[in-house]
Amino acid sequence: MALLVVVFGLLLLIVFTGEGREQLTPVEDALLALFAPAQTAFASAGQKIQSFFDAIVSFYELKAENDILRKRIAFLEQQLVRFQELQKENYRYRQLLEFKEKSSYRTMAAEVIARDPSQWFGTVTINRGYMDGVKQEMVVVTERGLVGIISTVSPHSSQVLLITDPRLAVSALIQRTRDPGTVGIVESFSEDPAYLKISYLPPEAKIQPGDVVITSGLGGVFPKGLVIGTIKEVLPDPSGMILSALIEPRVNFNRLEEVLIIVEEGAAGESSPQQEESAPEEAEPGA
Amino acid sequence: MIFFYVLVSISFVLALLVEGSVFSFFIVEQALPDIFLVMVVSLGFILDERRGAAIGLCAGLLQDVIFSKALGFFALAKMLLGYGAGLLGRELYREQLLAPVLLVFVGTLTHEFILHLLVSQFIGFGLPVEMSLSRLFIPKAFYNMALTLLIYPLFYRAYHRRRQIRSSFSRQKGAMR
Repeated sequence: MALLVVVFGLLLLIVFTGEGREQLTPVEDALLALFAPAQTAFASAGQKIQSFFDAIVSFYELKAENDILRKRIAFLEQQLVRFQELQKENYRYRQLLEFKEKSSYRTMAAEVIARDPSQWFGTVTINRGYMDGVKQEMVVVTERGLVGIISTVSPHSSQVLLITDPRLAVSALIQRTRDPGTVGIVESFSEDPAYLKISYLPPEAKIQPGDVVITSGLGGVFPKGLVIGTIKEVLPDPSGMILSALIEPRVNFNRLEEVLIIVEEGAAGESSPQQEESAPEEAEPGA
Repeated sequence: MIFFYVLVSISFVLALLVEGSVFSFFIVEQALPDIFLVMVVSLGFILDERRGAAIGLCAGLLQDVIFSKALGFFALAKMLLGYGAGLLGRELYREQLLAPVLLVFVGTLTHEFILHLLVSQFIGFGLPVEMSLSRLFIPKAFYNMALTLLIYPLFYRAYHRRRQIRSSFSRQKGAMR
């Protein structure tokens, strides 16, 4: 019975206060005033607790985000490297194409697929063989100059003997003078494999550092006018009978990736002056 | 016994402060735990329906004053809950935790439906029942069940300890006479 009375009383209280009131009773005022400072303190503590938990949560969120970003960076770095590779490859192909268009030779492009790891021989393997029309003793060049000669041919690959190989000798002359009497032999330089040596030049040959050395065309293997390199230093000869000089090759043999095989010489069988000047001096991007 | 009620009062005040501040940061699926409800059901179950209803009434009124400008809503809901818990406490084993935990689950849903009924009847607005049940009431009921595992044993031990001390003191007095 008492419960029903209380329920009824509470329902009345709800009816009177449910719609909203203008003022609170003094008891409510006092209770609210009493609780307010404690509520403020607890709210502040609650915020600190929340900050603490937020810090933990955000730590894990940041860690997860960090992991994702790291993976993304790794992926993008891979992409960037790939892009740079493509850019360089594109540059090299453009140079080769330019050379191909300018030259009077019919050429075939090939990629270097292997290189002799030892320092004893200067050979590289390219991805063209006799099935592609490659024959022994075909001359291999890049847009920068002479590379070497095809030494071995297999169905789908060939070996190129580089001009840095001690087994190869090339008849050459100085581009500036173009004097047929000043023909020398370009060979590897045993003391420093990065350089070549031109020997057997007559003592009266007027050579100087910076002179461009080109193939002479004598011997019938190498067409005339292919750039070999530039004179770096004239070497003194004790006998004084012959002159020799150090050549810095135009082609960077350590970074050889694409080459052109001269399949057929032009109608004249001789390169144009353009051909001789076709070795670009500009640097490869990212080189 | 006074000590027990002082303890209960302090617990309610603390619960009121904690519920409105610290616990508001532990929202689960938009549902907040109702420590008052857990305490009312637990105490009603441990004591009896009369004291359960009185505790529910006082706790509800305090909640009304502090959190709501309208009076009577929480008071009525919690009083009925305290009364019901007290009635069931007579029939069930109070020393086992399962009964109060399940009672709190059912009590939470009942409490929320009573409030839903009162608010929709006397104020004129209410949340869609189905949506409220799945998104608010049931998560809240589970939350409260978890709290019961902590709160009920504390009150149960505090109440029975006081009774044991008092009865042993009475026996000692009788023996001396």
